[in-house]
Amino acid sequence: MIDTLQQAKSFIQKYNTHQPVNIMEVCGTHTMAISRHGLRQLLPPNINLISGPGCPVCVTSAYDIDWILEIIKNHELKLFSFGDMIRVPGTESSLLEQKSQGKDITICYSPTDALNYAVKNPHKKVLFVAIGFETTTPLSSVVIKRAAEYDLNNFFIFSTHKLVPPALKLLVEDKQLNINGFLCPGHVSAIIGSEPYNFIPENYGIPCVISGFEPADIMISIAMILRQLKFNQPETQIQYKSVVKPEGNLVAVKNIYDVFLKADSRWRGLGPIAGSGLELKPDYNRFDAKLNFPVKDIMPKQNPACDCGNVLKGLKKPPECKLFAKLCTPQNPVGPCMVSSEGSCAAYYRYERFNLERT
Amino acid sequence: MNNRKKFEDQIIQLSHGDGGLKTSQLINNLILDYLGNSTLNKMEDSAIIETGGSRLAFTTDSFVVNPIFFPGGDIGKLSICGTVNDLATTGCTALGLSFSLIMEEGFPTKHLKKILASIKATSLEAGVNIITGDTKVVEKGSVDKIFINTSGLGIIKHGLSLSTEKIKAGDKIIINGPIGDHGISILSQREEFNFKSNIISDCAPLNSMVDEIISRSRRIHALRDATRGGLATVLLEMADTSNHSMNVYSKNIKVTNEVKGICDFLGLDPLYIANEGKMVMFVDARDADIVLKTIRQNKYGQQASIIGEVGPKGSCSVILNTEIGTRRMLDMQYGEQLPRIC
Amino acid sequence: MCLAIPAKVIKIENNSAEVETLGVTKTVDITLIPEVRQDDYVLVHAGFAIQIVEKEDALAVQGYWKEFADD
Repeated sequence: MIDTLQQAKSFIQKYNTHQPVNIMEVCGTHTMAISRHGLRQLLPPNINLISGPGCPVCVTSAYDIDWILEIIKNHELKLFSFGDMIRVPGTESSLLEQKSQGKDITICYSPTDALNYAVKNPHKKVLFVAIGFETTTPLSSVVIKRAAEYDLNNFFIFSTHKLVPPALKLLVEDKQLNINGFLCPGHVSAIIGSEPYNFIPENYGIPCVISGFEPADIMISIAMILRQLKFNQPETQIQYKSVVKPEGNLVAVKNIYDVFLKADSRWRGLGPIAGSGLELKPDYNRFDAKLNFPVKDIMPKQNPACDCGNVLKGLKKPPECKLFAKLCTPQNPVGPCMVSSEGSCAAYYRYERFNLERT
Repeated sequence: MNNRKKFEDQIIQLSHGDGGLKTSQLINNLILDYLGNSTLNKMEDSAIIETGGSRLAFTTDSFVVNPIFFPGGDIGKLSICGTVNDLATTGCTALGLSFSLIMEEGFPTKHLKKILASIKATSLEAGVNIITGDTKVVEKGSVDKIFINTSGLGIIKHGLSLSTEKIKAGDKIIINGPIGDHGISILSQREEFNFKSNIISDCAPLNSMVDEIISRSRRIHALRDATRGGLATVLLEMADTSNHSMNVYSKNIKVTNEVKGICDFLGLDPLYIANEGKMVMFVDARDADIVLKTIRQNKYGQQASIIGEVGPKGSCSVILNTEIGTRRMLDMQYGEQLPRIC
Repeated sequence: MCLAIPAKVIKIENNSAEVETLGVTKTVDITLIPEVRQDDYVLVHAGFAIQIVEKEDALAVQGYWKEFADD
C-alpha cells in the first residue's frame, strides 16, 4: 500500500501545475477517508480538497425531520432508522431524544430488518425512514416490492431519497463556486455508472474521476484529475474500476424506477432542487408514510448562524463557520454537517481540529 | 476534564452510559458536583484509602450485559473480571469481593446456576473469594433478566504506588493484545446482523499478569483497564488526567481480522470498542522490554505490544500515527457507536 | 456516503447468499445482482450485495501507472 501511495504521490507531483486547484469530494465516505487517513498532509499545498453535499444525513432537511417527529408524536408505531439519522436535529427534538423518552425506535442495519419486523408483527405499524442516495435507494425498492408481494398493510416508508447528479448540476452552475475537479462517489457510481456525470466535463469543462475509498485510490484519482487539467482534456474517468462499470448496475437502476418517481426535494443547505428527490409511484401509495400520515404546517427553524449551506457547497471550510467547535459540536450539533460522522464539520472536528495538517 | 460545566441534558440517554464523552459529562458535571471529594475526583479505576499504615484499594462495578451468555463468557465471569481488573490497576492483592444480584421474577434457575458456576471458576482462577453479598428479586420488566454488582477490596504492597500522576514523558505504552474482541463478540450476537464468526470475548482476570510485571519492574507508572469506550477513550482520559500528550502507532495496535471484518460491515472503529481483558500499561522506557517479555509469557498477554509512547507535558492530545505515515488526533467518542450505513 | 465493503460469495440460495470477509460470514440479499455466482466477490451495502467486484483490482492500479508513465 505504501508503495502505491508513493507512486501516486510522485504522479501528483508530475501533473501538478502549482496553480491553485479546488477538488470537491462529493461523497461523505471520501470526506471521512481523507480526514481519517490525514491525506491532506500528503498533498502539495496548492491542492485544496473541499467537501461537497455527499452525506445523505447532512442534506436531509429539517422539514423532513420535523415531519417524521410529528408522525411518531401522533401515531402509535415502531420506527426503524439507520444509525446516523437518529441524531439529526429537527426544530425541537431528534429521533434519539424521542427514543430516550420512550418512543419505539430501532436502529437497523438493513431495510430488510424493518420489513421482517412488519411481517412478523402484522398488528404493529412499522415506519422505515428511507434515507440515502442511489446506492441505498434500490434497497428500499426491493423491500417495497416485497411488502406489496406480501400484501402488507402495516409497512410504511418515509422517503428522503435523493439523487446526486442534480445536486452536482446546481453546484457547477453556481457562479460563486470555483471547482476544478470532482472526485465522484464510488458506491453511488457502482449503481448509476459514469454516464450521468458526463455533462460536467462536456458542458462545464470540469474533470470527473470516480474514486475508490482506500488512501491510494483517492491519491490516484487526484493524480488523474490533475492529469486531465494539465492536458486540458476534461472527461469522466473511472478509477474505481473494480466495482464501477460505465453502465452501472442496470438491475438496481431499474428497481429504483420501478418503485420511485423523480420529484423535487429539499436539501439542507442547498434548498429545493428540481427533480433531485424520489417519491413512491402511485401504485405504492399505501406504503407512503407522507400520504398516510399527513401533517399540517411544518415550520422548521434553524439557527441562522449555521453555515452548513456554504460548507456543503464548499464555499467555506468548517472552521470558518462562527458556530464551529463553539456552539456546534458533535455532542450538541446545530447543523447536520456536525451530526453525521461523515459530515464535513464532524470529520474536521474529529480529525483536523488541531491544525495537524502539513506538519 | 476538570472544567466543570453545568450538566445540560434534560434526560438520561443510553450514551450517558457508554463510557464516552457523555458519560464523562454525566460524572464530571453532575455526579461530582454533588458527591465530589479528593479521592473520588481522581477518577482512577480503584480508590486508594490510607488507614492504619496500610494502603487499601476499593472499587465497584455493575454488570448489565445483554445477552447474558456470549462467546467467551457470561455476565458472571464478567462481574468477577471487571472488578478484579479494576483492583489490579493498583497492583494490589485482592482481599475479597462483594456480590449483589438483582433478578427479574421468572428468571430460570438453570441460568442462575450456570452464571454461579462461572463466577466460582473465575474467582478461583483469580484467587479471590466472594465475602459478602445481597440478592433482590424485582417484578417482571423492572430489570432485564439479571443485573450484578460487585465491589472489591485489596491491600497494596508496601512501597508500591501506581497512578496516572506518575506518567512521564518517554514512558512506553503497552497493551496485552488485540482490541475490540469483547464489544464485537457481544454486538455480533444481535440476531438481525446474522453474523457468523469465531470471535470470543477477551473477558479474563488479569491480576496474575499484573503481579508478574510488578515483580519484574519497579518502573511501572500506571495501569488502566480498557473497558467501555475502548483503547482510545482510555488514552484520552490518561492524557487528560496526566496532562501529557501521547503518540500511538496504528501498525502496533492489533485488531483481529474478524473484529476488523465486523467493524467494516457496521462502520465502527475498533479503537472505541469495549474490551474486558485488556490492560493499558505505562512503563518507564528502560523497563519496557522486560515488562513486554513478562506479559507475553502470561496466557493473557501472548500478543502484547508496545503501541506508543508518552510525549511532553502540557498538551493532552493523543496522536495516532497512521500506517501511511500521516498523523491524526484521537477524539472522545460522542454518542453511541451506532451501526451506520452512511 | 455509502459504506460498502467487498465480500466473497460462499453459497447462494434463492434471493440470498452467504458471504465472507476477514473470517466473518453473513447472509446478504442478492436481488440486485441476479448474475452473481459462487466464488464471486460482491460489494455489500446495508445487507444487500449491490455490485460484483472484479478480482483484478490490483491490475487496474497497474493500468493507471502505465498511462501515467507514458505521458
